[in-house]
Amino acid sequence: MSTQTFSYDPFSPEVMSNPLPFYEVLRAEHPIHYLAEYDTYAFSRFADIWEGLNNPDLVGTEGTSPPATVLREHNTGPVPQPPTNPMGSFLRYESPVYDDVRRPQMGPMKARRAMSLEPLIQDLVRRQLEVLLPQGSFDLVQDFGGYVAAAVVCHLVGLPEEEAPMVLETVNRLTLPNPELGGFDREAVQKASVDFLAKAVTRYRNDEAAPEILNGMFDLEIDGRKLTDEEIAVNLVGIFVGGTETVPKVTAHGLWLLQEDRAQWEAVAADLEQNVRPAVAEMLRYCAPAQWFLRTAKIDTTVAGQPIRAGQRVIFLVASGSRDEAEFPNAHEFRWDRKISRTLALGRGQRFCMGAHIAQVEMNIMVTEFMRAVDRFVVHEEQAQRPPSNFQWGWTHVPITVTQRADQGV
Amino acid sequence: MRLLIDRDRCEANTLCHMEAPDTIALDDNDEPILPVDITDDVLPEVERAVNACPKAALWIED
Repeated sequence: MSTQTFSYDPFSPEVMSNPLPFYEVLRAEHPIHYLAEYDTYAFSRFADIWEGLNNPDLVGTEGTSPPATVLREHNTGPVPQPPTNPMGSFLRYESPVYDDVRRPQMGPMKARRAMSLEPLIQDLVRRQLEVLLPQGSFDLVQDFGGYVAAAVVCHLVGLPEEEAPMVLETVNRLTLPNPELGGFDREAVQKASVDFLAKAVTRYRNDEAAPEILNGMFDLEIDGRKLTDEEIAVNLVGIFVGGTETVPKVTAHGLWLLQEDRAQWEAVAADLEQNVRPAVAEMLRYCAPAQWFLRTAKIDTTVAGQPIRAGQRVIFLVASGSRDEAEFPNAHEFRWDRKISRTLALGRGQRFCMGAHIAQVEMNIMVTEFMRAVDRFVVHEEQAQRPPSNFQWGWTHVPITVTQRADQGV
Repeated sequence: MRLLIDRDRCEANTLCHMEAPDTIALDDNDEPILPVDITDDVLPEVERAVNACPKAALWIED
């Protein structure tokens, strides 16, 4: 990749297949890179992203991962937020609407509350391992983490656990990029997920036993008006997709990396209680599939010294920031005990991952229980899949065979 | 020096408390009890706490 011919398009097939070499060039030579076709500035260095995600002049009114078709239309000024009647997904609004809808959803996902889910998640993980380990071969992404994460989402929004496979399948099918749009098909994600969630919302509307998140959403008023069942469902899609999509990919990829480097596996296994937590932090840095988040300037502003006009966009390449040598020495290496003092793996600022704490509880338990039960496994690499994506570039299928159990006879 | 907080931003993620447990206590809602005076000896951990806040709700005032 010579400098003269370098071009970066987040929607190009080459970038979607493997963005990492592009990020290296961007960080080194074009840390603030203007994408004329999309009227968008791409930021690739950790420090610039760290600053930019905190800039209150940058908002999500065009969505945070819009398709190329949206970006090819340039704005001549700020993009207004949608009307609140009917109320669309809160992800497209600014403060205070965004924060008002986020708050009731955060209740059971706050740090300490997430920890109270430990027994439930541990039970889920152990039950799933009891199903999978006797089979010997299974998909480490879908059958293990995918099932657990989807079941936790079901718990949060009041769907029965039996729906977990259906939740997983819906999210999987819909988050693959749609080539015609040059991104993933947001409308389809929305509709299928809303139909699913609306069932739970309608069922609990007049039920005192409704899950806390639903109760919070039933009480919520936006512009003096309570939300309809469909509006509530629309606003739960973030939990539905976010809760199911990332954790299984990161967990499977992380376990795979440890298994490939037995010294690291042995080191973590030597003291699971102490060592899984830092290992999971490194898995999030190294394996998190989210590539970038888009923001649109609502007024003229600057990011890392770069003037951005109202209506122009920026994309923050968080996956590049996580590989920035200036923040993480030998960033291309997975080191389970890496000192991580700042992270972009879960976002930052107003839109910091709502499920960050639950995700970490899930991952800590899954890694711990898996390593307690399994000593060695092989990955059938020829069948493993990491489909091209501009948005969530991660391992969607990692078929494995467990070759040595750690818990047999114990 | 004092550690200050923007309450509108705080979301009780508790990461500040994890970085500086002796300096930053939590209230019943898991939000940090601030402002608090900072001495030089705890400055490094308080700086880590400021960095750790994902909502960027904390800052140090001279």
